[in-house]
Amino acid sequence: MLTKEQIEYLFAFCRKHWVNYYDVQIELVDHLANAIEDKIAANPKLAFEEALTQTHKSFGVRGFAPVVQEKQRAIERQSRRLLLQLFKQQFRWPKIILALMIFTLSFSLAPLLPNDYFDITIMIAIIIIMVIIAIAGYSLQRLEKKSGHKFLLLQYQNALNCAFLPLNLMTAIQLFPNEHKIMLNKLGTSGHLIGCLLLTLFVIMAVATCRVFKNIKQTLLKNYPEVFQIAA
Amino acid sequence: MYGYEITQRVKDLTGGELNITEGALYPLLHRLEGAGLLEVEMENIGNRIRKYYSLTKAGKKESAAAMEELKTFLQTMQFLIQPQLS
Repeated sequence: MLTKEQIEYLFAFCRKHWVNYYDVQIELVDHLANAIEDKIAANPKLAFEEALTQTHKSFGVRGFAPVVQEKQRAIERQSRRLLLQLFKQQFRWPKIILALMIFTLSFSLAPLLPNDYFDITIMIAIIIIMVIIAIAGYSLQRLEKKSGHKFLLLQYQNALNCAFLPLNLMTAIQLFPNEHKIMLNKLGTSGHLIGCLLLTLFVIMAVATCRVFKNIKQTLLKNYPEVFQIAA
Repeated sequence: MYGYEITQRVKDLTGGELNITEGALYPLLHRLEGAGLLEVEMENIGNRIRKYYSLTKAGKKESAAAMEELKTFLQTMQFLIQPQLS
């Protein structure tokens, strides 16, 4: 069994070779340690550094880079799949009650709003929801900072861009080229319907996004308790 | 099983015929994990943490399907190379 200092050396070796994420480092360190232990067991005169060099060579000319790249792709795929799965779940009974409530409430209130204020109200609601998502995401980043390590699992930003699709659609409608700028409130009931539908979809997507963040936090606490217990 | 164990087990079972390199193994394991076919469990083994991989329900189903596909492929190749004359 390697010593604590040798294990620390392996972590430093990973960092030196551009593996800065703890969740990738621990897997590589375990592999390197196993291989080195086997090599030294077979040849006790073999030095630790030499055994490490030989083991590192077996990763090929690109070294650890393909491992990190594929791990990043896998995390994005998993996050995206989880987001869509949680989004779809929100439309099953009884969770669909939330979507129905949001739509019904917003559609009922829409005609009561003064002219030209419908679009602004929808945009304000969306901004509030975006702030809530940002706060939820920020709490994960704070947890990571407290742990003293960087985690590839927390590099999910690219995967969750689709959460803003309803917002992008809303923006596209507002920016549609026309001699008269299309505003949802000028479309009457149809405009209200579209706006309330997009708002509902965005809220549901936000709920799913926050649940993804919760899932990521639970995964981190379950898999790396020693790191996050210190952080907590 | 953990990564290093997989490489050694494959080497032992195939008598050294099949040697999975680390550069091939870990990207593949992560890809399968991303596709939901593998799940992981972490264990503290004293001086370090070890990551164990196991097949999910979907992974077992996919594994069975892949074996069937391989069997069909081998049968097809067998037929092409040594067709039975009627």
